[in-house]
Amino acid sequence: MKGRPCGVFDVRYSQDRAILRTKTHWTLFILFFIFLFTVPLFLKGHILSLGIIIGTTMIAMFGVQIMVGYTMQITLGHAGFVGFGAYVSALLTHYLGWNFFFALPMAGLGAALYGMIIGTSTVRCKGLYMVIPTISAHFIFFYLANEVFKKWTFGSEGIQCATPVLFGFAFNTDFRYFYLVAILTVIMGLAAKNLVRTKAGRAFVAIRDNDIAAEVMGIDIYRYKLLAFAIGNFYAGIGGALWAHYVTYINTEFFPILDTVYYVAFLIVGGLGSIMGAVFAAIFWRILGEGVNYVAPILDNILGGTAGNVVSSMGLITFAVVTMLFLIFQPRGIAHRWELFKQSYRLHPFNY
Amino acid sequence: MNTFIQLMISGIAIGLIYALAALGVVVVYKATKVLNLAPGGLLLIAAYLAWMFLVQFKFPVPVAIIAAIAASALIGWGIERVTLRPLIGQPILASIILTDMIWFFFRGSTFLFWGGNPRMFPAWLAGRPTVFIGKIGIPEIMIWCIIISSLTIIALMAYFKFTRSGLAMRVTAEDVIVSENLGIKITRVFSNTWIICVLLFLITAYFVGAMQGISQDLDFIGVYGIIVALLGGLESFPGAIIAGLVIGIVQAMVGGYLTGVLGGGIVDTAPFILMFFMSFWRPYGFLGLERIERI
Repeated sequence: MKGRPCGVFDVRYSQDRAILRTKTHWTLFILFFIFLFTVPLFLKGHILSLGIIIGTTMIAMFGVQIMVGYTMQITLGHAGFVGFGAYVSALLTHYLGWNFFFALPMAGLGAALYGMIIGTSTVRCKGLYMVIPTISAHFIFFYLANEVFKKWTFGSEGIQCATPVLFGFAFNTDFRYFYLVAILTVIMGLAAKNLVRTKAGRAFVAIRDNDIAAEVMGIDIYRYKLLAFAIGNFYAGIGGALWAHYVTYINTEFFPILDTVYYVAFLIVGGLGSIMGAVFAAIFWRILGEGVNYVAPILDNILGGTAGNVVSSMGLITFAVVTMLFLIFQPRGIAHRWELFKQSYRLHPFNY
Repeated sequence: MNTFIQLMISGIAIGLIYALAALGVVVVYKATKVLNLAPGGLLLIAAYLAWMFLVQFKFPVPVAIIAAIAASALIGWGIERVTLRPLIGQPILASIILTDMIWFFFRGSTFLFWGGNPRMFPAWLAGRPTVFIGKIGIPEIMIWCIIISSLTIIALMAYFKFTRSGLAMRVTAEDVIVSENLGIKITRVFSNTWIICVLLFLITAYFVGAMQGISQDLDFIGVYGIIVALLGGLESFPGAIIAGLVIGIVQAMVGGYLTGVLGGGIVDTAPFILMFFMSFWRPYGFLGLERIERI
């Protein structure tokens, strides 16, 4: 046993602060990277594209985690923010001919700006009432995309998104796009993980736990709430833009109100208040969706296919039932299980 | 001028429906402090149940209505017993998302059992004539809607104010642990709340179905119900009515005068723009309680 004895015995602060503390951590981390970058070699078509979708969802999910899990600003407009980023990047590449890699950060910043405009309402609004401005944000985005800027976005006809090209290298296959998404997801994930350990992240947690106490302690809560909105929506915008340029065609139908709910619901299934929770949430959501898409037509055949009723209802019912079961039996999410597992691993031979 | 009055009337009609849908949210919040995001689904299942007994099974009218009431009450009880009771004492966000999943569950179920085709109530309910005063037409169903929704609201307020179980609900809303210590059976309070909530949606469903027909699009009215409840203040029945009327009238006016300039989508968006600015002015809704907090 090269690792540390059971339990956590850090002797230096740098050791305590490190994300990767032990040799086992480093080994697992490197193995994970090797796995991540070789896995597209063995996967084909459908599963690979599922991986890409999981990656883009995960980036958006980090944003929800920062807003809901860390700062407790309940957002029911995240699909709108994701869509906003997607549209910014689509318009920039379509009309101004920008390279995707310049449009991507702009998509993030555009969504962050939109989020901050919505976030100004946090000056007085809080708690459950935050549903009002955020759900408004979703519908105002729909209105902007479908009516106000119809000349450019073509309304419900949708808009084409160019394939990303970097130095003449086009990310035009699933195989290539997977690496792009994988690298960006890892970078954004590590950034989120570090963000919540900084001053800003601790301020977020303080606001979540008790905003008045936080204010008394000298935290400028309005500024930090706005910052949470900006960062959360920056992630949403990046996720949306990456997704848009993968499917290469978007309209507002792709960002339904149901998705805004799923972002929060699956975040709770994944686990509130940890970056790992967002990771689990995205994976669980997309794999469940894929499973439903796979099973529903088969069930429809067996049950005699009453005009596609089964296909259209299966998704809703399965998502609802699975989420309910999770909330009832595991209200602290998959991440909590993961923590328990790590705990018992750390103490391995003993079970105290 | 006639157009204006006509728009006003249609605004009031749709506003009352929003207000009725909002009552189901308010009643749950008042008693259990859970923001009920399920009105879309509950409205759908109530409407389809009402339709099923009236049209599909062809029960006589009183029997059909009683059967619908019984079935709705059963659903309300079941929701509380199966899904929300295990979450007493858990983080409130979990309960809220759970109610949201109830919405999706019932939306999916109505698809599964009744398909996506729009349905109509029979003519005695859906085909009420329009009453004309001068040149202004008022649908008769709307007058019934005003009467019955006012009666419902009065009954609800009286229930909360004067009956023992209403008092128990108010106490439970104040503090679950204290009310448990006082010997109130909070599980019964919660299940009563949900039964009342679904019954309110049944009343709404009869009127909505009569005015607009029954289809899966009804859950959009549920979304407006949530919004109206928040705008009116989560603790307030009169607030819900005021907010419902405001949103209904704004929608009708915008639809009547501004669609040419701002496009058709403004009809659905105007209430949300209004609400976004409202959240600066009165973040607790029109008549909601502004809680004074301490550490």
